[in-house]
Amino acid sequence: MKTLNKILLTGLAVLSIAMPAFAEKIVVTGSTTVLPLSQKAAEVFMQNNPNADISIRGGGSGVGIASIIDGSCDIANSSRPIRDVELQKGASNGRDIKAHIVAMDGIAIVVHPSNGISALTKSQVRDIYTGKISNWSQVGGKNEKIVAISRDTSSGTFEAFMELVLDKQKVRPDAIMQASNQAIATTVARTPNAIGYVGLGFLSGDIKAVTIDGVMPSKETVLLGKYKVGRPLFMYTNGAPKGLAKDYLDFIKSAQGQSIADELGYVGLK
Amino acid sequence: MKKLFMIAVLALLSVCVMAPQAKAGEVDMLIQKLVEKGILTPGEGATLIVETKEEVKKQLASGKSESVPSWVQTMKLKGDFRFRYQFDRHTSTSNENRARMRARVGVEAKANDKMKVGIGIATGKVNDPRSTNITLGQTGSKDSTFNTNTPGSFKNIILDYAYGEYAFNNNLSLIAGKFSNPLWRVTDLLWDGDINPEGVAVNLTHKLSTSIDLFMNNLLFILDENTSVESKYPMMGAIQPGFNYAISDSLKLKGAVTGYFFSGVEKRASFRNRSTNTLNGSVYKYNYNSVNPSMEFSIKEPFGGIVPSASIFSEGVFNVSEDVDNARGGFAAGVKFGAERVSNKGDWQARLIYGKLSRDAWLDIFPDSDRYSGRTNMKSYEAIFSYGLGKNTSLDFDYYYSQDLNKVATSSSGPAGYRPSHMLQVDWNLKF
Repeated sequence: MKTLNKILLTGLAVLSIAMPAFAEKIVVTGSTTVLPLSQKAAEVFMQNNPNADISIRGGGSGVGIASIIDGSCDIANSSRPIRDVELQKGASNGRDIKAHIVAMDGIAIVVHPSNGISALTKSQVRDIYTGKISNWSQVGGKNEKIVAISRDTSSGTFEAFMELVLDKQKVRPDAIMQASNQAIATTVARTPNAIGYVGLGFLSGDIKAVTIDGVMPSKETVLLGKYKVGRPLFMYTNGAPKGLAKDYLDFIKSAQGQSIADELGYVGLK
Repeated sequence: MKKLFMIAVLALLSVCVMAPQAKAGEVDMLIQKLVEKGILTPGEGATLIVETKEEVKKQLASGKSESVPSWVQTMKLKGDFRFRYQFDRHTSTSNENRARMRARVGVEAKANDKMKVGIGIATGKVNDPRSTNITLGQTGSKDSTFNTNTPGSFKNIILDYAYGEYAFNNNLSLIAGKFSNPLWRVTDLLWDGDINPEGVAVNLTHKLSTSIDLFMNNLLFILDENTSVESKYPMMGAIQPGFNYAISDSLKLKGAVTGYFFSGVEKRASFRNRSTNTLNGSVYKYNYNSVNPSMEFSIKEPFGGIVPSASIFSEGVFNVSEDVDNARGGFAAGVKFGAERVSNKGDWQARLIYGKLSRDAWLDIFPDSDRYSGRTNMKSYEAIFSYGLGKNTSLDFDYYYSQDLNKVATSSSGPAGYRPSHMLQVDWNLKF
């Protein structure tokens, strides 16, 4: 029995030491896609407000929404709309989950400017990236092999492309993986038979965006949902945000916050 | 003028929120017209469309949640069914072919924000906590007084688990009753998955950084009722501090060290379902206080993405009690390829495990009953392949080759041997 007493006492001692200290600060958790915007905005906000303490964590949209439902965070980042079952769970937990759109994810499909192709359908892009289409002639172009350029699998742009275009199918194994939007833009600009995808903020005269299902990617077509390779990005709060959470969200929605979104390759709302 | 339009739009959207059946498409078109006329910016339009849809969705969900009690909404019903063909080939007995099945069903419901309760039943035998199988054609339990089986007999249903759980906060919870083993395990070398401990458990988690989570699982397992004031209460305590380290998006390392402390086992009469630990007459000769380090290193999409994930894992156990002879250690190691979970059609997973357990490394009432009948003093090779037949259903093949660590007489008059054993299980699993 002595041994067990020791076990219990040791356990309790460790518990009391390891219990996380409660601090007055905002915790933001969730989507890794929203994370760069959330993080950069928090950095700038805290520079301007030295007393503010904003802790940003990833984990994924599901983790963020679960955290706002169980009350372990103040703001949940999410790259998808909250689900009905999550709203019901929130309601049964006494939460009043409120959505705030903070930016849009918009992805332009780009080719070399010399490429005669200027229009593709979403299913053609999917077939190109999954390997079913491997020659430009199969989509009305020259008889040249398609060089597919993709983002690395850990990027938010890749995640969005997987969901919005590929229907979560695997990218062809011979696709050339690049570590950034800029690297894709540069590679496509240098490779006549290449196809790539970049955030709208990375479009330039060196590459050519193609229409998808007849709609040209632009800030307006993405924002109004006409261009289908785009999605809203959310921050969720429990009820109307107050105090530091409100100030932080107001900052992200401000012209300065939205210019940060544009700089990071998102489609800002301003 | 713009302000007036904005007020009108907001008023219209408010009506939509109050009457969620209003056609969302019409609102979208209206907003798009207002954007085209320059009354709203595209960003304002997007905000109104998206946030209004979210608000309408919330109102609908809220309506649903008010129509039924909250405990019903939070109640989860879960269970599974397994049909098994099992082939056994032992040295000492003839080959055996058996058709077996297992059924489990349980509910978990929230009593309030902090507390929940879970209750589950399963097929099985009251005196065999290491198996929820029932063998087709077999009557009653192993202790049945029936000498002959009755075809088509009814089968036993037992209480599999029943517990209450209290969450102090998001990082600390207490669970009491009979519940799933809260200790993290990389193999079933020490613990049969069917054993649901009885007692109390405390689980603690702490996020150290964005990439490191700490946890500490604590378990107090009551092994027997205290039948005599003088005797020690037969119990087991376990403290398991551990960590989860996300080295990168594709590399993860998880590790833990478990300390086990037993009370009232040494010199106690052996448990009914004992097998191979050293006895002194009819009582346990040794205690089984042990240290059990475990680790798992996993990688997503290795070898150029040929397989979805792969991992290597291992654990060791060492009986640190006094006076135990050399047969006090054990370990298991293995590799895993394929999907992290086989839950959809086409998912697959393959595992290879080698395990070795000395006679007194661990109390012999706990190890996986499929691995050499749950005995200690054994070494074993296991190969498993699982294939997803559809959502929540899979076909599993599990093969064991096991033998004694020391030569044992196969019968009273026969020569001593390692008594090799082969077992093949083919399972059809269905979960809900």
